[in-house]
Amino acid sequence: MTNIHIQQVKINVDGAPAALKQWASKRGRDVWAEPNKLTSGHSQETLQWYLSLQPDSRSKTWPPTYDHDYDPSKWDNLRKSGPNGLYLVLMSLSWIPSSSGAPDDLENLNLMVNDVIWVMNSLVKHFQENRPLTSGSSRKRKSDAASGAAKRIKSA
Amino acid sequence: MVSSTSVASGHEVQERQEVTPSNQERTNSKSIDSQQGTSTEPVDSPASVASSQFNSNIPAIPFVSRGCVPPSPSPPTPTTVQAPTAVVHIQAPTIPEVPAPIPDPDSTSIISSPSPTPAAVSIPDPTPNPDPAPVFEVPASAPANSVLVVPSVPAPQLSPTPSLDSYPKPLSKVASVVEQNPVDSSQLPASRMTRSKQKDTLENEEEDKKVWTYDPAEYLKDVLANHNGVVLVKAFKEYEKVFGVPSSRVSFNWLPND
Repeated sequence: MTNIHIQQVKINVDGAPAALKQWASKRGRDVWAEPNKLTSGHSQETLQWYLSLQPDSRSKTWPPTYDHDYDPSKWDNLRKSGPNGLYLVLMSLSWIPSSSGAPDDLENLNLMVNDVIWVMNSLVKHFQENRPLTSGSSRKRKSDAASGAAKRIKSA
Repeated sequence: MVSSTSVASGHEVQERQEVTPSNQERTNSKSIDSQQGTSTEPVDSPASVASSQFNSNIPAIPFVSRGCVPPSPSPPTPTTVQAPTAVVHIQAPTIPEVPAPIPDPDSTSIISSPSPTPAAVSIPDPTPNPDPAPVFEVPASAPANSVLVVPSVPAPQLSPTPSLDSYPKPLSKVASVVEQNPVDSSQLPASRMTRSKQKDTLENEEEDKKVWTYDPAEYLKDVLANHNGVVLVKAFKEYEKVFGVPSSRVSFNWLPND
């Protein structure tokens, strides 16, 4: 539960594109509204912002490497959830086709989408593999085993 | 303690009797004495002379005895008058030959009386003592030149010895005490500790509870259909299931389940 609360903190939008800042600052974010500050450099701004949220080992080169040395403390900037989390990155990616039709920008869009997919799958996989067992379930198993042993003794 | 050696004439006595009304009693006593036949003439006894001389100086004030044997209405005899003179004779004693005790500044239990002390002695304390309880009197049978041994009584202290703890602590010391005993951070109210975090959480909850007019997943799937959008939305939904906010906080159309 503590990890979930940590995830709910807003993602850092200091280096985000201007269009995303404007859209995120609007109170009516739940209502669809096209940002009117889209520029031709929105693709590069999105790429730079996305790399700034990565761990240091993945923020130097593009396209990034896919050797996953997972350290939860290094992924805190990107591991956000909810309407203020990683969703903002996806929204900024979704505006790239309408902001610029340049082939390089579209190529970067494909690379970034695939990288986001890899990041989300890696985080989910690591969380599921290292999920701690809850104490309630272990107690339940122990109590079931004990009650079964007691029943066997009674029947004998 | 009146001693008189002067002798006055009988005329002065007669004048005193005419002036002071207080001497009317004495006149009556004289008349009684005259009835008894003892004496009708003015007596030149020392006591009467002394009283007459005293009253002649202060004619309007009635005679009041202070510490002396009051003048009795009985005929003044030398035996009754000599009692104070005997006391006067005691007032000139010989110098006490008792060796003077070494004055011990720390001890107050032994008090010597270098001055001639009569039979009944009250020790006056020249210094103002707020606790007048220890007043010692020597019994009348004690000799005049004896050394008075006062039972040792704990000396009353005018002001208790001030200790460091009795003084009020300065603010700096109180602050140091507070620093030495820091308040457990867990006892502080949550509003003081995580105000900014609570603010963020409240803002997130407000935004989560808004009714979204569109499905972000469907929107991303449509816009990024040519850029692997379907896989992206599937991974995003899985990500939100694991790390996302509880479903009770998220409003309608925010990543609905398939």
